[in-house]
Amino acid sequence: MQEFDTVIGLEVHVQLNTNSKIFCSCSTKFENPANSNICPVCCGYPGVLPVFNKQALLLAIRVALALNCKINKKIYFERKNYFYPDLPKNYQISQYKMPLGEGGALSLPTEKTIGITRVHLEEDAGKLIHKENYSLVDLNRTGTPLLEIVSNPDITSPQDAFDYLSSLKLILQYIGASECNMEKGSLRCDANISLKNKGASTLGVKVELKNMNTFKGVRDALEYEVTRQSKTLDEGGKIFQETRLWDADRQKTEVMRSKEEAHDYRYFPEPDLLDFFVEEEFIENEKQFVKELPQDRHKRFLSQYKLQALDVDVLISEKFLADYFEEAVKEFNEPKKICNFIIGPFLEQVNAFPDRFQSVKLSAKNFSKIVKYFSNGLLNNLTAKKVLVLCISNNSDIDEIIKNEGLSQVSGEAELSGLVLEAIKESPKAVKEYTEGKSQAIMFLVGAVMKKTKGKANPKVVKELLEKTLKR
Amino acid sequence: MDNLTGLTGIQIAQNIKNSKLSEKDACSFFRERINNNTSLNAFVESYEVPIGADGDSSLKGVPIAIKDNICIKGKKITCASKILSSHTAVYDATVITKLKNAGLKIIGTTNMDEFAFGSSTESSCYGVTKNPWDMQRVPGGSSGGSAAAVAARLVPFALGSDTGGSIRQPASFCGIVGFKPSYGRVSRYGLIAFGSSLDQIGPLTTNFTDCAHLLNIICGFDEHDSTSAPIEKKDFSKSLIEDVTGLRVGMPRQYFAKGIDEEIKNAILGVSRLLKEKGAAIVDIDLPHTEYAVATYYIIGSSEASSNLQRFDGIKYGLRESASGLMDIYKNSRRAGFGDESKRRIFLGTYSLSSGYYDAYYVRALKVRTLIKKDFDDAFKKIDVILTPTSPTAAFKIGEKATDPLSMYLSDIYTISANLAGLPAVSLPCGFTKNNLPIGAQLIAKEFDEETLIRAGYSYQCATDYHKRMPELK
Repeated sequence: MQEFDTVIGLEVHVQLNTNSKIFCSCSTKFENPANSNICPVCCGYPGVLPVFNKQALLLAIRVALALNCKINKKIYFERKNYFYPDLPKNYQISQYKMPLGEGGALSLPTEKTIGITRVHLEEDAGKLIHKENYSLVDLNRTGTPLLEIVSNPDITSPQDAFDYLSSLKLILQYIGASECNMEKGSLRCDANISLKNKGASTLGVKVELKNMNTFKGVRDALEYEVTRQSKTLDEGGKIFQETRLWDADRQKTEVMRSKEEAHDYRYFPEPDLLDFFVEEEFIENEKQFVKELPQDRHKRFLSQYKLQALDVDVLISEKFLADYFEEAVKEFNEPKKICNFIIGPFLEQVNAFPDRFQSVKLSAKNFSKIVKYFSNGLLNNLTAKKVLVLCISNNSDIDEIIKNEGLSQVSGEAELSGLVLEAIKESPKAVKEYTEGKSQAIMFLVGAVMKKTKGKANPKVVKELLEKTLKR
Repeated sequence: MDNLTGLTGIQIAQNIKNSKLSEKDACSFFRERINNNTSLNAFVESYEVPIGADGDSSLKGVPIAIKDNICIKGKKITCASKILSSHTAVYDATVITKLKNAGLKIIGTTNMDEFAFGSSTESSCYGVTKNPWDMQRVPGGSSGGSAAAVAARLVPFALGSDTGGSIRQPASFCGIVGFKPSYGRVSRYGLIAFGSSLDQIGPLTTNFTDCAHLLNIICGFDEHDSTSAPIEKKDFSKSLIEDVTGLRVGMPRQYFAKGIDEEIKNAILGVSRLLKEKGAAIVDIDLPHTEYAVATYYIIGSSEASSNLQRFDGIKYGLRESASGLMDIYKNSRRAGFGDESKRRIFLGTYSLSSGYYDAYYVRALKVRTLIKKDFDDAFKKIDVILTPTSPTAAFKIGEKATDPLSMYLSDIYTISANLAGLPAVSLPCGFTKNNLPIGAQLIAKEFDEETLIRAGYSYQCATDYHKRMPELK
């Protein structure tokens, strides 16, 4: 059995979070019916001209900065010519000779660093829907700004590829550049993989993998290929330069096309758009938006809020959570309590929504109020959760909900002592057990009182009252 | 008023304004002339009800014709190509919006070389347009339909497009004024692209007054065209001044060297004499890279065209030939839809851009283009305007050059450089050959200095009457 080094490079395409397309003013929303977000420009009608959306440039520059790239200040586009029905001009406006960013790097949580070869802007193509004997084309996606991010072949294992994608996604989400939703297609990933003899300097034959729809799919496909290629090489076989498709159902890759049909894209500078230069000050100004990337924020959360590393992992994993946390702490300076409530009941609710954070309407300020009431005893575990459920998707007034639903915790001895006596009377068995020394039995009585108050009683007060009464 | 052929566009507008003429009668008059002269084959389509909104301008109510490569919403647009023969424009080109807002009446679309590839209109899928001065001859091209229509007074003026001389050369063949503005002066939005870095829309008129007023309407920055220049709008009618005192006129030696007809050369020398008499200074200049202009132009123009024409694939609009697979639909539709000259340019451009040839052809052509620009920059340090012939010959016979592309390409030898350098240039009528064919003189000015061209041209026009002569028609 020979030993091999795995060499992986990833090519990621992300859709940038702009309101309108890269070369026309059509919306980039996806829910809309097929071919409704289109105009003569993105349909490539004769005579139309592209106009560059500067918002796309802004986001692209932020990504390039966040990935530590050198920014090429001269910006120009090129045409990539090919006949394909989802790109109606039959050329794609892209960047070739001089990408927006070059020579960057991305650190993985394992402290490994992966080089970024290039980051460039281009327009997305439409979607083809193939039917039995005809095909349909939806041009809504045509012209969505796309950023291509190409890694160096520095990735040495499928798990590193997975970590690279996770880190990249987190950064892009953090700086608001892209949603990075692989299922929805706002992030797409192709992988190149080759094996070489351990320690050898010459690279093996490269295979391109496509059609992975999740990060896990990327890892699985790469793992499959490592196994397939090393087995083939072990048996004296040959690896062919080809493109293979990942079949997630069957968990295997299959040949799509061999590299012989290489295209000549006849790149040349797009004459419909003028070259322009981005000023140094402009780039400097954009740096403020990529100041604190996820790893930096993780460090800060640990030191500033004195939280557990595992909890911080959860908060940082979604920019929304980390932002929400910080905003809530600003209102109620109890980081630990806010954190617990976010990771507990809040996330439980969020995960129940199909589109997760998009359904959350409750402001962090109002959220902090719930945590505050919980910690000062106005709400208990149950009622706090109930308030959260009632307002998470509508941001109604917390005090009003508590009032209207009668959820404020009952802590007064006067209101509770009658109910305590009732409970004692109704549960002689528990009382007997308690007085015989089985101290746990008191919880049954606490539960009984809670039931009578519909969960509103302060369980701590109830327990104290019971103990006091039964001692007499 | 029974005969409007002797009137300029401005005079027609004034008559309409003074209620001596109705817009409707003006349109009817020219529509009748169009219908009586279909043998010229100048129009692709003329409209029963001319298109025009209620806008206002100095040319309100005057009919105008549009080259068949500028989009008019709801109207057929074909670039005189079979591949687009069933296509209707879904939007208005910016210049069309401007014409509508100015109250002009769009009366029809004019014939042209297919996709503007040519200098004779012989490559049109609708057949050649005839030169109204001699029906055996071509009107020039590619805006030959617009030039012939204006020369024959089928319409007071027209719009054309100019990539390498396509407004100026037919204007010279037909004895009218053809103006190519600086690159970026007029929005290209809605002009079906040939060579995107060279194309420019401009007016074809019988005189400089109409030319200046039409320029006022069509010029200006357009947010839909990134290559349109964000510069202040000018009132070009203020340059209609008969005064060339002190104007420095350069005559490039390279433009009078070889291949030029003696008659043409003498006519241009006549222009220089006249300008000199009126107070201009005539200076000999050098534009040393002139001889490379044609080759440079055919590489850059064809490269851009090969990409611009990729979208015509039979799938989305225009002609579709049936086939069993997608690739074959593309192939069959393009094979059937494009004419020979279009195919020639697509091949030429595709070849120039192919890997392995790109640096030797396209990149080198860009470098030469820079040198040609620099020639002009250097020249304009000493002079204000350049005077040259528009074309080495007067109108040639139909069929004479159709089988010899290279000799056809050379008929643009004097006009191409202005496109490569992005400069404004105009062809104006300056005489007739002994066969009674019009001769055109070309003036070229600095970038965005259209005013000098208008002032010089208008001054020449004031002292001559070539622009008043009309071909005899039915």
